[in-house]
Amino acid sequence: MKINNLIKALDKVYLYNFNMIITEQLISEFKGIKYVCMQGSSNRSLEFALKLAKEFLRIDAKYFAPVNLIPTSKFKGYRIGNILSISHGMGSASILTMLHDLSVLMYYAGNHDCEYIRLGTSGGINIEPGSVVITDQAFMADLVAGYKMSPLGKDIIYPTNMNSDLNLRILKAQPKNLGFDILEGNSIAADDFYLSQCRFDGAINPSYDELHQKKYFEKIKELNILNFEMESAALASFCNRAEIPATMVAVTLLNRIHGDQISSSYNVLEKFSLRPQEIIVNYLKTCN
Amino acid sequence: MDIEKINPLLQQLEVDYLYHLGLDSKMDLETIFGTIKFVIFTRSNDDAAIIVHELAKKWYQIETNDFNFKPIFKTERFNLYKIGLIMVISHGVGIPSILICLNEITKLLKYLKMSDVIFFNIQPSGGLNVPIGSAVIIEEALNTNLEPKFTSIECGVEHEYLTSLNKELIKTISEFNDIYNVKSTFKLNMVKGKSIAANDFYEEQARLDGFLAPEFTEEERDLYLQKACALGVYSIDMYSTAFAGFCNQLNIKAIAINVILVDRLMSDKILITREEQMSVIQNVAIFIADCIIEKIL
Repeated sequence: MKINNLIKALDKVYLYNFNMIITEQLISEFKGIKYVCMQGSSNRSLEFALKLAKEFLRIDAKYFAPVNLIPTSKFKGYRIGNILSISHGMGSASILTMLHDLSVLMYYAGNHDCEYIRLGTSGGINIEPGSVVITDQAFMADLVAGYKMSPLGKDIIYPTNMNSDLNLRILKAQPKNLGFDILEGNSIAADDFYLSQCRFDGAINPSYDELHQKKYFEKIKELNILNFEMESAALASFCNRAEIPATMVAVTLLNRIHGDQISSSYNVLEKFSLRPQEIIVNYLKTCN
Repeated sequence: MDIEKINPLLQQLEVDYLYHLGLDSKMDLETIFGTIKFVIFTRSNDDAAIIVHELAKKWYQIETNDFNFKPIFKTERFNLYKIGLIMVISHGVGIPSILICLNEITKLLKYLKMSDVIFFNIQPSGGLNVPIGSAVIIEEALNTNLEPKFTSIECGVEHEYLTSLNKELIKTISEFNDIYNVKSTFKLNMVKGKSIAANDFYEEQARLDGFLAPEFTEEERDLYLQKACALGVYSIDMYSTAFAGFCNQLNIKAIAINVILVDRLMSDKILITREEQMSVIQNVAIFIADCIIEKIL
């Protein structure tokens, strides 16, 4: 983990986006975290914390309510042993904002060797809905591998490889009878749910047609891109720069070749969206 | 809003799932929502609750502060409220998140057959050359390269959209504020100008105090902020280009107000406490409730 020297020197650290001032007490609450598991929604972070409590602490969820450690409505975080289950909201700007404050907190808490895993939902491309993708490399919607930032108006493209050792450890931790596919491939992080993901069902009339979409999906196939989501490129670029091992495990809720709408029943979607959690619990069992 | 410009392909859908709102086009939306004249978009659930509180006090003439409104339908991604003819929704942090919200709310309005609707965007933000607590009415949004455009990648291809906001509404609101400051005990400092929309809180907003070492120096930051000031930029936010670009494509009457929490010429850090931040947002919420209910509706 590599920190900005400019903030090392500050005597008072206020994390606006977490609504936190770094104090001794706060450090003690977060000291010893090794695995940070992040998901878009706060509800899912809470559900995962309950699942972790059951798996690792043998606590029945009926008798236990995890305490949120992040005092803001933007993000929520729950600690179970050496695991932090935290939410990051939707999209690159939201996850980046969260990653900065989270990493300052981890640094001050002395957790310099933690790893970050995003558990996501996504739209699959050419794969069966319900399959889970573990990301090698993140692309932008213009099919450039990298993440572009423009601080002070100057474009910089950062590399977006996920940590291959971490991917290998996660894959090795899985039993043979998972009951669904887990595939290694690339992901597109789009900055919008509709037009950037080449959907036809947004509020705005698309500038492209089905033929354009077909050609775009063909290029995607050549690049071994298996899913669309909205955070992987920002996550990978941040963690590369910060020297934090990171990856993403995301379930696909639909196959975009067949349509745009997430129309499976609530029960099916719920079942699918628990799959990344199952995979990461399997992984964490080999660590703890 | 130009209903004709809304995506005609939606008519081919048997049912449209507004996934992040937890609604669909088959529901009896007209009975649920009735008439809507305004939609207020704001970042966080907490800020949405503050705005809702002030709107409800004004609309329902509630004297006490001792009440809470509840968000309706799915609250996993956004918190949606309705007070009279006004809808309020929190949309999460950053442009990708607000775009999801704008799309689904616009589709909802289409199914409700509501075209005479004004979109309001209220955001806490950093200020340039304006005191903390001021409200900046955005005339035009700029990207971090200080260009007045919103760039969106669609099916792999870059498209650019204009980012100016509704002049008539800007005039109405600033005139209301002139009168308000004379007759009301409470004064709101308001300026009209440009705003930069960044894709993250730290580096793209020219902050040096993020976790990652920035690729620019303090001197370069200061020069950049001064250059922005010279162009008439009064605030830096995370939404305005996308908000304006989206609304312009559908001719949605839109207004965006930034509430200043920090003077970026003095500090990267927000120095006021959370309580002070909330009171600044509450002041603007009171003004907006009065302005919408007394003047615009």
